[in-house]
Amino acid sequence: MKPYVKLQRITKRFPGVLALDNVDFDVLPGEIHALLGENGAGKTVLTNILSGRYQLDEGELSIKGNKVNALKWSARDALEQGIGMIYQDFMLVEEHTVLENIALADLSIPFFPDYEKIYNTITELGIKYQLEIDPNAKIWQLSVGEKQRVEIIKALMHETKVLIMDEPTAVLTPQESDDLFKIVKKLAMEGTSIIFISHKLPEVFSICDRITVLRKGKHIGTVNVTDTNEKELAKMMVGREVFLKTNKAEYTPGPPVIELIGISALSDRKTPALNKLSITVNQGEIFGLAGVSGNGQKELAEVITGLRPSTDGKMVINGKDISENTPRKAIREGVGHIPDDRIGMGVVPDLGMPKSMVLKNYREERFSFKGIFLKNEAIINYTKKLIEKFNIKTSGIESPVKLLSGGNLQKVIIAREISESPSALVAVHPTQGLDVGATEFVRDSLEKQRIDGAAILLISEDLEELLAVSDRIGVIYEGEIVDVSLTKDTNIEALGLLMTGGKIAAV
Amino acid sequence: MLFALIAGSFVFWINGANPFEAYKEMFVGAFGDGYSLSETLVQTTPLLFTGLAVSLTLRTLLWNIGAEGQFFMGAMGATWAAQAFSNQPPWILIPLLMLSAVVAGALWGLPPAILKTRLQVNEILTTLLLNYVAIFYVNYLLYGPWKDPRYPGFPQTPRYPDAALLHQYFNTRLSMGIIIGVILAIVLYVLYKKTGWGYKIQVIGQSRKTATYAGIRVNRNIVRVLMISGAIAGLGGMLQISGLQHKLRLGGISNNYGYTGIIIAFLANGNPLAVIFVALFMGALLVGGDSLQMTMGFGKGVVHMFEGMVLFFVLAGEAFKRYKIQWIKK
Ligand SMILES: Nc1ncnc2c1ncn2[C@@H]1O[C@H](COP(=O)(O)OP(=O)(O)OP(=O)(O)O)[C@@H](O)[C@H]1O
Ligand SMILES: [Mg+2]
Repeated sequence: MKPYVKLQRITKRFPGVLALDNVDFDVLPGEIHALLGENGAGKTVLTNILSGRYQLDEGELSIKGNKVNALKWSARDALEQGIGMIYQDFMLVEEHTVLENIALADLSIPFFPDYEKIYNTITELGIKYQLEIDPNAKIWQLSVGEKQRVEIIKALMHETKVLIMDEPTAVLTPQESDDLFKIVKKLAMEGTSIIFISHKLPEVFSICDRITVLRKGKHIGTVNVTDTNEKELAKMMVGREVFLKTNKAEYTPGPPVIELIGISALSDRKTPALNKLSITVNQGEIFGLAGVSGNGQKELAEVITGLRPSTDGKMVINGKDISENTPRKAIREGVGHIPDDRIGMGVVPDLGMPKSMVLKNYREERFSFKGIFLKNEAIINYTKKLIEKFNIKTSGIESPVKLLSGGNLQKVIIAREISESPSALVAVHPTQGLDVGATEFVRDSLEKQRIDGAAILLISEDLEELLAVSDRIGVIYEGEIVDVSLTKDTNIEALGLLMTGGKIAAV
Repeated sequence: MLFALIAGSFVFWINGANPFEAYKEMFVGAFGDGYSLSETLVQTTPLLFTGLAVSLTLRTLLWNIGAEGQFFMGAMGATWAAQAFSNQPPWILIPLLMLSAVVAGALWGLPPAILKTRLQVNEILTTLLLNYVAIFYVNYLLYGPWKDPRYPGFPQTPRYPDAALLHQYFNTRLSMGIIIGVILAIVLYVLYKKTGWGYKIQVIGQSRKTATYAGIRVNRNIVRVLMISGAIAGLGGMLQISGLQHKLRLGGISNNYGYTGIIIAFLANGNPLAVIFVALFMGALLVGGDSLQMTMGFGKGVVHMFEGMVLFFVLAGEAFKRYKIQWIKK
């Protein structure tokens, strides 16, 4: 079979980094082609070149066997050739509705879009691929999973021959991922090629046909799924063997650190999100919170960290009543927070890394004289230390953090939040989008915090991760904790059932 | 920039003059000798203050369109102090004038700040509207209670007492205002680069969400920034009267300094040191333009057209650079 697109000897440099070094890559019609590699390996850059967002420095590009002018390849060319991309960081205008965003993306739509027609297409696609979405909802009101649906619809509005998905499942629940795989397979069957970037090997094995591995910008190899196994792939990616087992110390919980008693709160849409919820997280434990996204996890994390007011109930942290919480109070009580929205909330996107590293502690004596004059040098040294300790790959510490690869950006946040030995830590999807090596590292870091006596609330949609690292697991459903059990007393099936509102007695 | 100059030439050319000569004339008019240089600096002074005022809000991603009104209120506040404490010696009176101007300007920044943080009312609108209120209020004072009884026909106050005037150096109209302005720019620069406060407002300007997350009290800081911005513009107003005009006189207070300040802050990209140079450029444009009127016999209209043209192209060029507008081939 002739490849639909073929990239040859691609080289791409950014100031200070060689992002791609002589990489070959091709996509056959109707195949699902996985692109694997560590954080910062160059996956996003490679696909961005294909989608015309970045220009390559050297290399050749052919479409259906015909050479094109690779140096002049633009986003519009890519669209015309049916190459669509769903970005890792979504490209949506938060203030606008789903409908408007989709209309905006389509270049063939005239100045005054025919909203009714687009509305109907959205509904049609929604039925065909089970991508249900309210076209009139504003983007900022949507969950991450829903935003992704909007992105997929955006791509499907064109006649898509190659659909690039950059870590689409990183933000999805297992259930949502399964739904996505059905869509992906259906598209592939209809002849669309899919380029699928992921850090989760099991899903790669379940849906992909071929796999290309990049490491530090180099092409390591392309193999058929049937000719390889997880162990070999992990080795190709990292260059060494990886163990995703955390050796957990014994579970000896201390006194309660985070106590919520009958807490209620509203969502952004002003609908009830938390419903008289009670939860206790103790010193020296990792409390895993399982749940389908949109059941109040986000609001719960925000109430504990002071970002969202509670409307009812009592909250006690370190024995202190802080029902009237603010971010400042929470920080003062030593509550760390690894937020869901990394670029928008976790860092200062357009500034260099030092500005993001000392966000919460710049007032301390070691970074400023009496909180007034900053000790810039100390801040830079501190940043360098963390870069080294957390093995963050950057082209220079003053380059804007938003240019970091997804995984490295997450490391910046984690480094900041756990370096200050928090008494409590609210971690929302902390390993989302991290490569195996980094995931191993984060899990070890959480475990270390736990041994040091932190109370950790781990919110994740990855049940295997919850089972691997938590001491206890609670399930949140429609703003209530419906079950709490010791990790050893529960399993994936039971959790899955509880998450969707089932009763445990039925198991 | 180049475009701006070419466009400017065009204006001269259709008015029947040699563009090169006109430019030379302008340059000489603005920098040619001691006197013209001093005049340029005199024009630069108020622009420096309004430019700095707006650049501060720009760093927090707020638009203070109200520097004009705050400038007026500063002039007003200073005049009030000059009248109320007229028998004090200069070393008490001048600081009092400054204080009063700063307070008046800051208070003029307060209502938009409160409306913005409490009710999410856009500050562009409120600061703009307050300009008109300030100007009308000063008008009222000049036609009514503050009018100089000796000149009933003119809307102006009596001359300030001598103790309230700033010394003018080397027989020019230049006072210490320019020096205060430059010092202020340097101080702001240091504040931005080296202090926790500068860091804080930078984070607020970059992302309100991140700032909130980091425990920065965003609203409180927005109020502060708008008030400080008003205070800076107000101080500019005081220096204008005390250093140059010597009395509050209708038409003699501001030459659209507040609005030009917005352009200056934008071109300087919020950097206070850059504000110094951009303000100087604008000042030179004003003075050079005036000299054109005299030497080449252009009407006022032509000169204004030229100035407008230059500004338009400089701004457009800047916008292009910053937002990388792309032409998509169809
Ligand atoms: N616009 C840019 N400017 C400068 N450097 C960049 C830019 N985009 C990416 N890089 C650098 O190029 C390298 C490859 O990044 P890329 O985003 O492709 O990684 P990735 O494989 O997608 O990683 P992840 O799994 O973390 O998403 C990184 O070192 C990154 O810092
Ligand atoms: Mg990536």
